[in-house]
Amino acid sequence: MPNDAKPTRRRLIACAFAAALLGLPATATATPARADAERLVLDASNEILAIIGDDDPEPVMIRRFNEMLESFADVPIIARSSLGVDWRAATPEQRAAYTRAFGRYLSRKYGKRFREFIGASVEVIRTRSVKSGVLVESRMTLAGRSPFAVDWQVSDKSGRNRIFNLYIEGVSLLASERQEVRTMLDQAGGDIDRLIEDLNSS
Amino acid sequence: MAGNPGAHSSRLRAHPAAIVLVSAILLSAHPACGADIRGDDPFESFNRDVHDFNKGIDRNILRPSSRIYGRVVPEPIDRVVSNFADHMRLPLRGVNNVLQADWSGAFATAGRFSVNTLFGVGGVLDPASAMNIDDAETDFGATLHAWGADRGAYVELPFFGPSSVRDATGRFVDFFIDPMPRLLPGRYDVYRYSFSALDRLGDRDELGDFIDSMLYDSKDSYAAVRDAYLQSRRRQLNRGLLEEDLEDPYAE
Repeated sequence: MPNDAKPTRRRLIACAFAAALLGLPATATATPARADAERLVLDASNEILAIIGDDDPEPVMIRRFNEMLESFADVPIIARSSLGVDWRAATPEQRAAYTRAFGRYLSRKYGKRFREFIGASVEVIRTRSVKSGVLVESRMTLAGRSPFAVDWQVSDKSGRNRIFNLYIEGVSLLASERQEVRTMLDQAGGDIDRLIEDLNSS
Repeated sequence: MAGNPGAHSSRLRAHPAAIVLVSAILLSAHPACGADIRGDDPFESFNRDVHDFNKGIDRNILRPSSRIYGRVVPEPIDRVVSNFADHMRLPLRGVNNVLQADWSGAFATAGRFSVNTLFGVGGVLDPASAMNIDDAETDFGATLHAWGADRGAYVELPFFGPSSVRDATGRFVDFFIDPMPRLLPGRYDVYRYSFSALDRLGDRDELGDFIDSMLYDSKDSYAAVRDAYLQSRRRQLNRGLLEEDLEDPYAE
C-alpha cells in the first residue's frame, strides 16, 4: 500500500487513535536523554503489545492499561493540562479526584480500541531534543493499512522519564482531550464536581 | 521560490480563472498568523450547519453503503481500486511538485507513475511502494503554502469535509490543472470519479471504527474534526511537527 496515499483516511484515523504505541527496533542515539526516551517508548509499546496479545476480557485489559499508563505516562501532568485554565480554579481535593477520574477515563476510552492494534509494528524514525524534553518520531504500521506517524513527547521533569503526550499524524492527544474535557465541563455547567462524576460514569 | 513551471505554463495559461483565484489568495496572504493552529473560527456557525449536513450524509448514505462495500468487495479488489484511484492522481501531484520547485518530489512522483504503469499493469498494482519509492501526497493547497499563502479561515465543505480557504482554493485549482483528462481520451472523468467514489467507500469501511468514534462518540464532533484536520494538515505541510507547536505542560 502507498505510504502517503490516504491523507484523508489518516487524518480521520488520527484523533480516535490516540493511544497507539507499539514495538520497535530502537536505534542507538548520541545522548543518554534521547536513548532513554526511545527506550521508554519501546518499553511502553512492548507492554501494550503484550496486553493485546493476551486477549483478556475487556475489564482486565482496561485495568492492565491503567497500570501501564501509571508506569509509563505522567498522568498527573496530562490530567492537569487537559483541564486547561480551569485547573487553577479547582481545590486540591478536586484536583486529586479529577486526576484519578481522568486516568481511568483515558484507560477505558483507549483500552477499548486496543484490539485494533493486533499485529501492529512501530519503527523509530528520528529522536530529537526539544525545549519541552525529547521528541521521539515513529511510524506505525497496521496490517493491510497505510502507515501513519506517531510522535511521542517524553520529559523527566516529573522526576522520572515519562511520556506526557503523543501525536497521531500531527494530532495532539493532549489538545484533543482538552477540547473534549472543555465540552464536558460546559455541559456540566462549569461545575468541576459534576465533570468528575461524568468522567467516572462515562 | 515557485520555480518556473516551464512546460506546464501553457497548460496553466488555458485557465485564466484559476490564475485570478490564485492571485487573489496570494494578495490576501499575510505572514503574521500562520503559527496559530486553534485560532479563531469566523465561519463557525455556517461550518456547523455544513458539518450537520455532512454527518447526515455519512449516517444515511456513506456509512451504510461502505459497510455493504466492505462485505461484498474482496480485499484484493479493494486494493486494486485504491491503487488505481491513487495512480490517476499522480500526474496532478507531479504538476504540484514542479510548481513547488520540489524536484526530488517530482522525480519520485514520475518514478512512481512510470513503475506502476509499466510493471503494475497500468496502475492497478503498486510495485513502487514495495520498492520504497517515496510517496508524499501533495496538492495545490500545499503549493499555495509553499508560495507563502496564509491558511485562511477554517471551512467545512459539503461532501468534501474539513478544509480551509487556502486548501479549498487548492481543490478548485487542482480540478483545472489536472493533466490527466488531456492524457486520457474520452470520458475519462467518469472513470476517475467512479474510482474515487469507490475508493472513498473503501476508506470509510476500513476506518469505520475510527471515523465512528470521532463523528459519533466525541462530545463535539465538529471541533474534533476541525482540530484534527488543522493539526494533521500542518504537520503534512511542514513535513513534521514544528518545535513551536509542541505541548509544554510543565512550563504552564
